[in-house]
Amino acid sequence: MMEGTFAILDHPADLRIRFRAGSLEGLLNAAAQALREYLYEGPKEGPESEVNSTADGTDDFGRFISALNEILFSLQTRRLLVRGVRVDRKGPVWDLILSGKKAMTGAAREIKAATYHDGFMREGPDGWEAEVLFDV
Amino acid sequence: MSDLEKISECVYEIPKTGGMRVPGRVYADEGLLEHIRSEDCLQQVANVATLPGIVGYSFAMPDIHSGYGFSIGGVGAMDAEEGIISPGGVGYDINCGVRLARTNLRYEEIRSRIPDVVASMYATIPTGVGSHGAIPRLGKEDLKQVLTRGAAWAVGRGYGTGSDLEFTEEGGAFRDADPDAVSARAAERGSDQLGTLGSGNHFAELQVVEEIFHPEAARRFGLSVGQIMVMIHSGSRGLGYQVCDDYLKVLGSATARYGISLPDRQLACVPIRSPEGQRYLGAMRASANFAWANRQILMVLTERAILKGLGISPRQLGFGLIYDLAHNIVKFEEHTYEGRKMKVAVHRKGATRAFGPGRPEIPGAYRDLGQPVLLPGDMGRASYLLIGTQKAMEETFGSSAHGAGRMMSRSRAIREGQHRNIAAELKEREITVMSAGKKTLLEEMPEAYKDVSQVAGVMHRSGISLKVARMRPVGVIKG
Repeated sequence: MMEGTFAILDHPADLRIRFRAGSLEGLLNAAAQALREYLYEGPKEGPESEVNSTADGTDDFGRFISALNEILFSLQTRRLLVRGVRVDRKGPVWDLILSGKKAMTGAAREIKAATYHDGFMREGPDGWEAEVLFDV
Repeated sequence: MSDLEKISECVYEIPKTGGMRVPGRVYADEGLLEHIRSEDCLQQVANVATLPGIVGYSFAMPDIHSGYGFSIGGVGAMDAEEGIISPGGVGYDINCGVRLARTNLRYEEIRSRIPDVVASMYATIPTGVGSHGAIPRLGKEDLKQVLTRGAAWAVGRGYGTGSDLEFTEEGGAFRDADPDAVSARAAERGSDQLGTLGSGNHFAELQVVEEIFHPEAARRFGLSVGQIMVMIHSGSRGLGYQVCDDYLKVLGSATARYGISLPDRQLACVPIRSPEGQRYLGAMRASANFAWANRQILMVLTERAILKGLGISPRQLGFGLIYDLAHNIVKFEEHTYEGRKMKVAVHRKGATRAFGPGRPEIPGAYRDLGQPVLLPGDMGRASYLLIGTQKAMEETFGSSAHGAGRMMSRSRAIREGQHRNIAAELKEREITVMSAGKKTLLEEMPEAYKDVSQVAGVMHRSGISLKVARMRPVGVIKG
């Protein structure tokens, strides 16, 4: 499922992450891995689970941020250790399917939200790239 | 942005250029400015100055650092009739704030018992993200009551007394909260988090008073050197974060409809009087009430933990709230600006109210002194109690700084600290620390923050707050 990469960049107060992948879906999978690894420290894993969700916004970057916040909600509130993200972006609202194992222990850290501040998402000749600032 | 003009020893101005409706004002000294200039926060101060209805200046407090939309440490007063309201001027952690309580305990008498007390606090106070504790998951009706009644709900459940409400800003609850404007998702995020500390820079601390700067104010607050104090820093938890996120989307899609163009979409805003603005205000106030209930419960859990840890009676402990204040909030206040009385919506994001003597919003017991201003620092150095001033009323719409402000990224702190044992280092300095997250202590190491004494010094020298006392941490729990 994982086809992207991520790097945590320096930011004075919060968490700035760069994602790269061959597809938008790959970007979201890279994000799921980055956020899961940041939030959880060796969680006890339970049964597999899957949730349907949506991401909306006024443009693609807005929908990307919305999708990241859906992943965060699943990780932190539903305790779903998201390992797979499937996205259907046929319309103005993206349909998401998030899958993974349930966490039987709580997250060690917390992220308030993915922000719109000073971020981007773009498709270039070498694939997709995004940088996002998360408020911690 | 380098074209700052020095106005006085601790005040610098960002001249009005481009789309700025007012100039920027930065409270800092040369030492703090060096770091401030290395971030993009001065641009953020200039961006806030472009917002419709802003009055006077876009302010930056001495602990300013990069935020989203508004900088952390940013203040903007918007005309209540013609101005805008912006969730980015409040932040994700709505009514994140601090409370300070005094005890009868003397440091020298309990010095050897502090590890026991910290262990008791750690066992009693739910820390971290997924923690569950004294308050079971709230049902729909209970949550609605919390969102409506704030700290009074907690008092009604046996967490504290009515006098605590007197020493809490707004009496511990906004009256015009609208629980129905809080989404189901926000309710879900917050329903099992009431009475939990949270992670990151949130904390519960035992502190010892080290130095008194203002003997009369200290006497009135019941402070003396060597006394043990309790400071708590927490907010509205996942509920508030979700409310901010929800309304950034709602207001983000509405901003253009009101003919407002923005330099940063994180500054999404609408006219205060618009339906969207009123709904956000109702949800923000409900979230703020959740935060006041949260800190009220955390304080009582801390009190119980100390009683248990030391095996003493409530009378021996003599626990009493000095003050609770919000530092991520928007409030409607009356101010006099350029000789004209006006009502403004003061956005304080990482900034505290610092009203001077005489204001009716200050508890009667302190009204002639000025409002207590709480300035928490890092877990290794100090925190301050100050008081608001008439000068703050005249210059900053009664606002002041809220903390130390980070100066090192979390990733750098983890890199630099990977071979260090922060808890052991602090122990050598007689500070007992316990934390839920393994990396939290690295991220929160004292060197990751500016020296709060520098921030307090600027506040004092500029006259927007006056130092009353400095406290040193001796016991800390973190999420």
